[in-house]
Amino acid sequence: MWFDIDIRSPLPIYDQIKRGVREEILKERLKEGDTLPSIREMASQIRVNPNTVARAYRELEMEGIIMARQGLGYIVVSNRDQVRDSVFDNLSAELREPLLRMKKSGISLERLLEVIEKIWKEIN
Amino acid sequence: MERDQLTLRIRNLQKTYSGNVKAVRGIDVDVENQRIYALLGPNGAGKTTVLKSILGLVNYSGSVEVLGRPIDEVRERISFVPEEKNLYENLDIESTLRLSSRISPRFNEKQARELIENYKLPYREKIRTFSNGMKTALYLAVALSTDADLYILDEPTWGLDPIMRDDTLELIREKVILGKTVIYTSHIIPEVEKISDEFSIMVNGKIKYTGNLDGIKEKYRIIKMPLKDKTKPSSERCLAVAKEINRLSMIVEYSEATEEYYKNDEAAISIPDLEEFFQILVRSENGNAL
Repeated sequence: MWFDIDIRSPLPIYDQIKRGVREEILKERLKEGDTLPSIREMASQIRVNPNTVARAYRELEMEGIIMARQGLGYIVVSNRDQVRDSVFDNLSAELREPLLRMKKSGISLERLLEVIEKIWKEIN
Repeated sequence: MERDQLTLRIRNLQKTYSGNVKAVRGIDVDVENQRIYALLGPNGAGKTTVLKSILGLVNYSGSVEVLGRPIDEVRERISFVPEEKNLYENLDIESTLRLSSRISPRFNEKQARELIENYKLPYREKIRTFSNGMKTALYLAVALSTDADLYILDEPTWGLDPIMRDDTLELIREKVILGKTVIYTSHIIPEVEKISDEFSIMVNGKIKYTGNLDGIKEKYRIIKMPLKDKTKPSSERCLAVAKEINRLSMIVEYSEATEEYYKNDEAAISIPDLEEFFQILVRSENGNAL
């Protein structure tokens, strides 16, 4: 599993880690019962501090996504259906800012939907 | 070592140099075990004096505990890179390594050689021919290859090229993964952003802010607006206000009300990065405030 952290992103780093893990679960690159990289491994792979990784893991555990198992580290205890909504919510929220700017520039919803459809076709 | 033991505890540290120059005007610092703590500030803020006080290299008033003890009892558990990277100019790297092995039983020569090879330093040339960056690199190779519980690094990336700097940051992060604690000073903000768990921003001998990057992203917003006569900051809680050329910048505590207040065409609101946060805080302290 692998994802990149953007220090300059407005998103807090621990939150980027949480999102990264959820997205890996959604893509089924992490499956129920899989072991996550240890805090140290993860910290050196994605170049962040172990304390930040520890915070992200702790919060994912409280959300019931992963669970600490004695001697095994953290394992995944949820499946893609359980993370789908939160991944979708997070990604949708990223649309807010560009949409606001479009609205301020006077772009109509019809025009916007056309643009979305066009881009959607391009990436499919 | 206990996970939550404080590696450094400073209370009301003050230092006045001769001529009544107040370098440090009463600061408190707590650094937990296994953290990277960065002390930031413009030149002359007092960062180096704080490090020298921690190490007992200058007299001061106030209290400093390192690893739960007075500095003299724990000195061999600390590895230090000073601001002035003075080495024996007439030695080459080979003899520097031999000397280091003799001086410190905690020095790991094999590891130092790996670092020196990574930094691509010449073994057989006299140190006096080295550039500043090469001297820094050699100093780091020796200091980071010395086993310690606490690494105190004063401007550890001074003079390093971007590649060497990035490698050095990874070495520093590695220390924490191995259970050590690192305290360092820097005025290169982006590198601090990359590796520190916690930082303090020091201006004119005082600590103006202590926190971490995720914390400032969550807690604060930066507001920028054109500087006009009628411009006035909102009554919301404001951490710092800085007047720049033709522009007013503020750090305000985040709330939805703040967001609404500033959502007009005159003001731009953004989530802070450390560079901006630092700039506004320092400018505001340096008298560019309204």
